[in-house]
Amino acid sequence: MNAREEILASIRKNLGDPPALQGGAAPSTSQAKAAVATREERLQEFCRKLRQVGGSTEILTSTKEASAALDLLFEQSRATRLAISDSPLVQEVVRGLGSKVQLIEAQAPRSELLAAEVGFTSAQWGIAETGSLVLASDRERHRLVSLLPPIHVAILPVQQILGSLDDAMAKKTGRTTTIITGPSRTADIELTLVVGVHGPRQLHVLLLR
Amino acid sequence: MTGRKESFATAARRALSDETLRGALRSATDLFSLRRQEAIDGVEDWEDLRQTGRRIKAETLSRLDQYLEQFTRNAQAQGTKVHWARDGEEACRLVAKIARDAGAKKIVKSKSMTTEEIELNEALEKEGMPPVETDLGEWIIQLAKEKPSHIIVPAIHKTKKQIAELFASKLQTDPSANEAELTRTAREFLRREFAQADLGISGVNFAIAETGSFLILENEGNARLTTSLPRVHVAIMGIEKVIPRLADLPTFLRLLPRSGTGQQLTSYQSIIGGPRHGAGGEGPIELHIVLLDNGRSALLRQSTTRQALACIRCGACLNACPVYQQVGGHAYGSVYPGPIGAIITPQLPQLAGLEKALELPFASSLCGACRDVCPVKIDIPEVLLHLRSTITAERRSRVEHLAFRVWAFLMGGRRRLLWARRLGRLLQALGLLRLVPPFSIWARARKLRPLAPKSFSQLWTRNTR
Repeated sequence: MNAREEILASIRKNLGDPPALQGGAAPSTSQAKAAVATREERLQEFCRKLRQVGGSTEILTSTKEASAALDLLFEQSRATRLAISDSPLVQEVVRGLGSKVQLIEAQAPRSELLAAEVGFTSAQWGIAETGSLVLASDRERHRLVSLLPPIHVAILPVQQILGSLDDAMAKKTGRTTTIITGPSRTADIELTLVVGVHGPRQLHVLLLR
Repeated sequence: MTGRKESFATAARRALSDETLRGALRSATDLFSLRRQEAIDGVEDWEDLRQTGRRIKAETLSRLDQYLEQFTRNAQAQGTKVHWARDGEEACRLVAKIARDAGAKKIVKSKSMTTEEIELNEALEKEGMPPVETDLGEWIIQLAKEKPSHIIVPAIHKTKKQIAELFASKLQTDPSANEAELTRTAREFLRREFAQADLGISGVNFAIAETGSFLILENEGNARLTTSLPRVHVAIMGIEKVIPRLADLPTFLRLLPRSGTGQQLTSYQSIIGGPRHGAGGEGPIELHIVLLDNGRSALLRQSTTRQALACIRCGACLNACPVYQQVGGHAYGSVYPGPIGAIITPQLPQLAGLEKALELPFASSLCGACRDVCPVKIDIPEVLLHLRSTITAERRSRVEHLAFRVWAFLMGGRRRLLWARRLGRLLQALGLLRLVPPFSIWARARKLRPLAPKSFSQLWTRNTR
């Protein structure tokens, strides 16, 4: 018997041959959270929750405004190297930038991405319950762009803000999905909170009406 | 009791006399408990959540073989390579082979208690492939060549000053650096490691049978880096980590961060569904997962022991335990300390041989604080009592056995009891009672006058004449 057979046999023996699952898993006993009603309420809750964990939010009504917001950020942080994902929305905002920044594409070599100061991606969904962004890797190349640079800017259309974690799981995006709730942090030294460890130290979310 | 019980006691005494350690533990466990309570206060159906978590785990464990097979099928369909390991040694051999076959020159690792259990780092070091820990707390103890003392905050026993001095001696940094500066040092150093890493090793918090994907929770971002930068990713998980459906995940995402660190959610959850997909994809080209038994399947036999497998490794029981709060993790002599450690260390063969393993179920006052905070409602005191019974049955102490025989004899007849009481009062009056075991153990630190001048039955007889 190989390892798999031995382990499964050990499990079955110790369980006393359990009854088989009838056509797939038993129905879920999890409770779905009551949906936060309107889109406006979800938007407000999303902003509140994200701010609580140290993220910043800005509500905008056009990609032009988004470009302006990014320009301001470059000015304030004196950043000149911008990594971008392959999202069409991101590309549109970048085309409207006034600042002179060096653009680094998502498929650039690791060393270039490591040198970027700002990473700009979109997010597939937001979650109002927790103030989280959901990044689905099969929809956009943003896994490293959202992680390596010390500042992460994400643009999210407000109609993509879901109510709860349950709503997010129901999307079943397949492949790899990352849920981001605020900037990176640690409390490993005397439980003192330090923001900005290996992931970004700043998270800015631009919400597009 | 035999001399064995003394070694946990010795370790505990040593910890108790370490003022720095006690200060660090006190502030950390107080803060954790406070944050947990605040986080829970914001949840109106916390008890329902716990019950749901417990039910999902119970259902999964009752059909563990089928869920593991479902997970394997679905994972393989995404291109993930699934390996099975009967014990720690087999798991280490598998990982070493994957690393060798991949020609890995630089291995980075995110936090995984399972890899501590099987001593993976040591095994890989022996093969000339030392992994670099990237979680800040784990990196600190790797530099200090110590074992973790908590399952969530491995360096909880160290003060900021000690950490600054450690960095100063190993990395020539400022010995008076503050937390932010120390963290920045770690970030810069480890970023250089990440830049070259070609193999990443991680643990798993939950594996989802329905999709063949698995979830890793973290705050720092090092697990995301470990699992997306290198060419090859190897994940290691205990077989009990599987859950049936994606729809089950929110329950645990609501339970675990609140219980562990008092957060609503940790900064990042990575749900990893497979290796890089197609030319435009991101992430590792090879994804491996090792399913580890190492004694877990045996715990399924009895419902009392099976519940220990429901553990989601939040650490809440450690923070609540009055024993852990005083002595910290190292006194337990196991990578799993505290209440959960006391029930799994003696039951997992790889750990049961540790010096203090069989004492751990006795290192408890059975106060039940752990049971009250456990997010999946493991009745830890029930398991502790069960283990005390099985351990005592196997390692009968002659002295204790004799003592109970004597006690049974004395209690067996009224006249015998009266004479024993007279003898006891005489010894007490002469100050000699404290020499008689088990009174002698009690008397080491307490006053000892258990026998009243007149017994209740004597007073009754006198007053009702």
